[in-house]
Amino acid sequence: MRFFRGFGAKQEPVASSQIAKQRLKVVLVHDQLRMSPGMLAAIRADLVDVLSRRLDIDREGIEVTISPGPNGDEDQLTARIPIRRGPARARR
Amino acid sequence: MAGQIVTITSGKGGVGKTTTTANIGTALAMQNRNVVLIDADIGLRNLDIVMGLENRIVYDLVDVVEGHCRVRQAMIRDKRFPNLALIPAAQTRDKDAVSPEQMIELTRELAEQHDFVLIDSPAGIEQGFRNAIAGAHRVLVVTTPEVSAVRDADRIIGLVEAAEIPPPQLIVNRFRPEMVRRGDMMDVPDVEEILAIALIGIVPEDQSIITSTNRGEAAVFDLYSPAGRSFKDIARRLQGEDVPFPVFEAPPPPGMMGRLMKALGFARV
Repeated sequence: MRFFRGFGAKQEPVASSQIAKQRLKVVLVHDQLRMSPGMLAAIRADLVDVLSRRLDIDREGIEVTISPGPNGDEDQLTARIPIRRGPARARR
Repeated sequence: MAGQIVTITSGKGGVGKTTTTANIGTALAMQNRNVVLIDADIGLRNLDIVMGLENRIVYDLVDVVEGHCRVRQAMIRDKRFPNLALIPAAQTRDKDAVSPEQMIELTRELAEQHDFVLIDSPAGIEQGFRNAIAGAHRVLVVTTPEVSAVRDADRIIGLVEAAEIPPPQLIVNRFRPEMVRRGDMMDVPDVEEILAIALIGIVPEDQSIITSTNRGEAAVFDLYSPAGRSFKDIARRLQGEDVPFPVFEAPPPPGMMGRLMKALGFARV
């Protein structure tokens, strides 16, 4: 959401009320799941271990997040897991 | 038919539970209901001073549950309305002095003689809060449109639902239309979406809350108080009336340009 304030004013970034809303949605998912700070890190470490037995994973690049799901009534765990390509073969 | 036992709570302190209890209670009395208010914030009594009844305390809630007096002796009649009374909190005890079972028994007894028993809950999630919701037929959760208040309200809603009370209803307090218009404050639909409970009231930020508390009067007496009007609406909704929610017109921007635009009819909503 962008809007200008007056002439010549610099362009404002996202409204603070929208930032507040987004932050609340995420923090409430964590609160409601009673998730400790270490739990996501532990889940991430487990995923790295399990998947790297079968795939060549970029261990540093894995991202694990929890957020509200697209339907109002569920939350989702999302893992982005980059897989390394073999040498010198570009995708056609 | 027995009356309704309604607890006003929030989680976060300072968002307006006591003000809300005093004003809804007074509005209900103005609308001819029999009302008794209970200050359940033992050790930090406040409902008495907000109502202007601080000089009339003889017995308090702890005296009643410990059997030192009859309930009627602890009930302080409001100065203006014979159908409105307050049972104050004890100031020198703490939250363990009362148990949930005692609150259930007391509120059920009061509900036989009153249309509404309103309980002002303390902040927090401990014994005081548990006492305040014990025996409640319904709960109103007060929040302001700010991150920490909303977060705490969410926790409280979870605890109320776990106590097998019907889903609570939401009051958004200290609402500032001009900040919402600028994008600097979350709007009521944002808070409703996050907390996912039904809205029962929107109360705007209003300096008459401070001045009326200074005088020991509820803001509902002030016909010019927007907050007072909102509390009267909430009282009507509590009785089942379908009252539309207000649309707040934000004040015009300061300065000549703003006043000129308003005069030309460019009013802001």
